[in-house]
Amino acid sequence: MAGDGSAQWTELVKRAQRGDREACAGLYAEFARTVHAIVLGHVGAAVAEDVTQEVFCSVFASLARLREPAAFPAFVCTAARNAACSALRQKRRTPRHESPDELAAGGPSPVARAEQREAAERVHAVIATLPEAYRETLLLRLVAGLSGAEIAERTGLTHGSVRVNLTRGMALLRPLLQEAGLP
Amino acid sequence: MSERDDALFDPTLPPDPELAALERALLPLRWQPRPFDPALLPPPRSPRLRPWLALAALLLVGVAVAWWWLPAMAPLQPEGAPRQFTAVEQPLTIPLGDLAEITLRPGSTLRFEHWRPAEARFALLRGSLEVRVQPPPKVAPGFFVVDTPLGRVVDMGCRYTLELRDDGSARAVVTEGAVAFVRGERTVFVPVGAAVEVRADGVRTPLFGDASEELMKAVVEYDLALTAPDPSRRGQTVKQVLAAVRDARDSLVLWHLLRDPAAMFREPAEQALLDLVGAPLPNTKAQSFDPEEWLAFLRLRAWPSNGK
Repeated sequence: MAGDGSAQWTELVKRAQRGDREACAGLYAEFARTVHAIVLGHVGAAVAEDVTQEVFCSVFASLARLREPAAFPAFVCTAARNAACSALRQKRRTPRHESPDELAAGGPSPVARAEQREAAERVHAVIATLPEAYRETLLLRLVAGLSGAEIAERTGLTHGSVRVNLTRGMALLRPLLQEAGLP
Repeated sequence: MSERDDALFDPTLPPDPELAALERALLPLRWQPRPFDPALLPPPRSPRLRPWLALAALLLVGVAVAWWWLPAMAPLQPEGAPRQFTAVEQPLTIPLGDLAEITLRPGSTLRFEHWRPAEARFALLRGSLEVRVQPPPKVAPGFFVVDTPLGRVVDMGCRYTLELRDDGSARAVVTEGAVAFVRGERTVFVPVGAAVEVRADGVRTPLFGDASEELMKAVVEYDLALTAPDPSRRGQTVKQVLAAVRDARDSLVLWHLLRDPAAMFREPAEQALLDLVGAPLPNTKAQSFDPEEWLAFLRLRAWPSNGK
């Protein structure tokens, strides 16, 4: 979604502002992983999904007040940071339970999945110690799977800034992971 | 920047083993796409008007009312632009300086055409009105005119009512002075106490309110024959009118016969006038056939100014 993405978002935002439900669903599909990664930069994985949902609730409720549709990415990223900080203040630590669908899904056994998730949360805990700019950019890259260009497009950072955040963030992260015995 | 850093920025490049291991480790935290939940959307907005919107609507109504009423309330001025007046539920009084006053009755519409030194002209579009015009010399006869779809009412120093009826006819009743009603080639004179009816087929000869049934019927026949191509029929109706004339006030009909296009009908009409009210100028030739000469005499002697 690099390059022509902003034009498509702008159209989706305009339609969503007119109450088009499909456009809202499109924006949700496009930005959910971004919001989730930003939220992960502030709160634990256990509550990140709930906070992500809350972010979209508030974004859709206030979408009509967004004067410039092209500013939607910055708008939603800011909303994600604010919601995550708010959740952190409330010290919400509701543990996430796997749904019956997830438990019934194929792949690794529940025990193996629990171990994998525990390992992932340990890595996440180390990332969470990094400065905000580095950890957010790294989570967008490593968890959300966005390229540097996509991160720049959604956060409003320049390509150079994204590259610097990723490089310096990784440079800080490596010794911390080694120290913790993590990959 | 190293190749490792390039791969960090661009995931399409060959993966760095360290980076790949880190991505795998974080995979369980990756966002799991899920169907869009409509509960994320705000509830539909109620149709209640926002306060500012209501205020704007109120302001708009105010402007519309002002636009509608303020010009209507402003007095007419000489050389003023044409404008329209409508009385909706209450009578509307429209002064023309100190020269005249029009009272537009509810459900009526009047258009002001112009106010020039020699003429003030209106047009009654629907409904009815009452007009009071200052008598001469304050207002010259012919200055104040009201057009209707059926013809023009010309003031001659008077007070009168004018009504456009639903059946397409018009009626003017004079309560002071006199008016002339002009339609095409024909002009009738309506003195105080008399009324004129105008229909699609022409102007009726004015009659006083106490005219006999016989005279009224005879006049209608005459009026209808007036536009007929065959004058012989009109001759018959003239005879009927002459037979129905009895009172001095019936001379109003005879006076209109003096203006018949055919001399053969004017002559018996004038003779009937002489028999009824006497000669206007005793020392002159009796049959002058001059309607203006007769008019002054009849207004003074036969048609009392109080309309009785």
